[in-house]
Amino acid sequence: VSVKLVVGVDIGNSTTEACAASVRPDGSVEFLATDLTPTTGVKGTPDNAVGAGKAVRGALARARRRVDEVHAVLLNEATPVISGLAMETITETIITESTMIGHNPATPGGRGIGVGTTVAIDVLGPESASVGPVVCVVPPGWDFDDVAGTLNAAVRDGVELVAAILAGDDAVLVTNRLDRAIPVVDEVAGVRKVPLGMLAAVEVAAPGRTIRTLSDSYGLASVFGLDPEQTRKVSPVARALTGNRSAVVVRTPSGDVTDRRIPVGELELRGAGKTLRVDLDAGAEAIMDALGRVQPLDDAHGEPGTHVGGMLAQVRDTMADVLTSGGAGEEPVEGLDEIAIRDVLAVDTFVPAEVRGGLAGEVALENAVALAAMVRTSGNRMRAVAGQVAAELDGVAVRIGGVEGEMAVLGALTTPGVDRPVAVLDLGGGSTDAALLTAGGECTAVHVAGAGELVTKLIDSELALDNREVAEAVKRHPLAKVESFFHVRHEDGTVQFFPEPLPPSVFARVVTLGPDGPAPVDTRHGVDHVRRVRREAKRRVFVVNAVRALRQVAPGGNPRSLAFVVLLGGSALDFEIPDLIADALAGYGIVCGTGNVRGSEGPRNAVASGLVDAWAAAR
Amino acid sequence: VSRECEPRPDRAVAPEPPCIVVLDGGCAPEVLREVCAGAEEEGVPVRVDSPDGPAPAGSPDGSAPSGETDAPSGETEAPVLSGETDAPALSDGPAADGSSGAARLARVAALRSRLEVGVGLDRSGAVVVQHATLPETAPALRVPAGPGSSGPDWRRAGRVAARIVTRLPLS
Repeated sequence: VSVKLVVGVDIGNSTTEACAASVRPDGSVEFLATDLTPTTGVKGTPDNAVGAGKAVRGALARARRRVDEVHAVLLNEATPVISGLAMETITETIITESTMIGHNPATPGGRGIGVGTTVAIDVLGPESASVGPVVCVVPPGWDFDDVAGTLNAAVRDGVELVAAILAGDDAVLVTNRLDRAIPVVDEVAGVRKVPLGMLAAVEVAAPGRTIRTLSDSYGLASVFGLDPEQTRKVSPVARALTGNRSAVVVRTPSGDVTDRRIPVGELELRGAGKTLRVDLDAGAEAIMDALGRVQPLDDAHGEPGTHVGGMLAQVRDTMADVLTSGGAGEEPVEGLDEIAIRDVLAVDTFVPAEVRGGLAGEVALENAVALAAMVRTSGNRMRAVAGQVAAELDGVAVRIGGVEGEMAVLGALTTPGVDRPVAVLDLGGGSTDAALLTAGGECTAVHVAGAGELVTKLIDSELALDNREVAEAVKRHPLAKVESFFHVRHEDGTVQFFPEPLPPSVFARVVTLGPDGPAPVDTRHGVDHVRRVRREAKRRVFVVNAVRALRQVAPGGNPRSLAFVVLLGGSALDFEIPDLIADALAGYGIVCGTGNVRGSEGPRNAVASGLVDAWAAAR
Repeated sequence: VSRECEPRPDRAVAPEPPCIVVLDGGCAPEVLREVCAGAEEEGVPVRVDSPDGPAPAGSPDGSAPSGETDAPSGETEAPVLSGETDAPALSDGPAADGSSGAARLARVAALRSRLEVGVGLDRSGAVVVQHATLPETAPALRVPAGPGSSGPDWRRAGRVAARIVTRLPLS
């Protein structure tokens, strides 16, 4: 038969795509069908064969063709790219001697400030009148009626009661039953650790306001009669309490709040004949600056014992395992001695962390540096992969086609409106890849560390979700606020009504609107804050990496010399990442948009299509 | 039951203040106390009504639960039933049609409330929180009767009722 049926297969980090086409003797191509399935195993290893076989069969089924009709399966030269992520917290807030409670219980009671000596409610009695002003401390298990009764009795006995600190969520109930109004802070889980017999100040602001006195250094100095040296010491307390609606500060002889930087060790970057060391706690800017001076990077090491050091070592070890394990004895693996970290991306972030020594689960925003790293080797096992794929498909002929970047560019060129010179940005899960095809037909490609996984991690930690799936949903779907049992307000302000009631579990919550309906995001923040965190995470990873990768492939390192940029890969399907990148590249006078391979496939299937085109052109 | 949402004669002149309506079909006093406390802590007023209308109806001891009399913001406008009534359909446990008494009381309470939020408590100790727009079979919260439920659960029911009003996450 002169018309040949071929199937291009692109094994990517997360998905495997296939594209079935018939090629006529004159080299013209008729595309029949495509398919896409999750990649099995690490890209570039024999484990990929199962997924590749599935994708090929899927595409053939859609094209109504049989496996035995296939002339050849075309595989891309897939080199394993393994990426890793780690985060180092570089600041830490510690409260010693239980001197400060600064939290936002949903419903504190009363308002104003009360300064007095801490006295446990069990020992409150007429004799407490001699103490002077009293701040009453109530342990868990006390009923609000009993608390109010005891406090009212004490006041009748002449005790000068100025404030109360409660363990339970009772502040409003207690205040409503008091004969004389005082500020009451509740939900203090560690109330038993509040030192007794010490001078303490309790402040509660009116609804919608924040405390004014305890969050101000001179306010604290006035309340506790501090001298300038002592005032200098308590200023971290004031800072830590800023923005709260209620707070307690206890003055103990040596209590302190410290805000210290954690030494997290050095990152060693080697490249361009130099070795630079940079302290991780210097932040992302310093790290990226050092990285810029050692381009191209040969390798990177982190200090053993740190998260980053462990992560870099682990990425390297995983790559070594992937290249040596399974299918042993088939062929020697090339490039095993070249396993090296070829790129890192550092991003400044913050982590809401529970304050050490806090009594009410106080949370402080700590600074952190997130690091993505990538290993890539020249060694690959594509021949083993090809053999496995052939076995998977009843012995059909399998050919290893061209280099991934070149194939991606060929596929991208089929997007309507695109011409050479064209650069593609493949926005994946673990790495962001760029390739450039010049007007003269030369192709260069780079891989940079940091992509969708890092975005998810940033969202997860900055919103303190501690749930990767929720973070992934926040990344993928627009947000909304459930405003009643029957309607939501989308993040752009538009309203949507539902004919069926929404579940009580999402009532009044910030939700993501995925295909399965509204899913709650467990956060006290509003839609605007979550949206800002989401967009900032995408910008700091994808926009930064787009510019970084294009600089590396652009002639003279100048993105202005690029005419067309085509976005490909899973993250190019995101509802806002392409816009964020296009906005950032607009300043360079570049035409940038999401790929639409062959005018029909969107940003998918570029490499698989490119493989078919390249094979047809070579005949 | 359909007459329950019509304006009531004793309040036809002055509009009644907006509040959560609690219909007590004869539950234990500590259940009612915790439900009211949960709403009060959130700052939303509560009115405890009799299931059978505004007038006190056949309460054997004639006294309201102690927790209620102490509550300064408990805007009790009708005495609370704590015992037998002549209308067992509303205050008993599971009704003939299989729905719980608390669910029906909650539905009626929500329709009576100007805030459209009601809580039903039946003699078995079950608590149901309801919004006027929700179907009786799918209430906002259901706390089952029995030893598995205790003070914090009933407190939570009051809190959930208040948070429906204040548009805060329910848990």
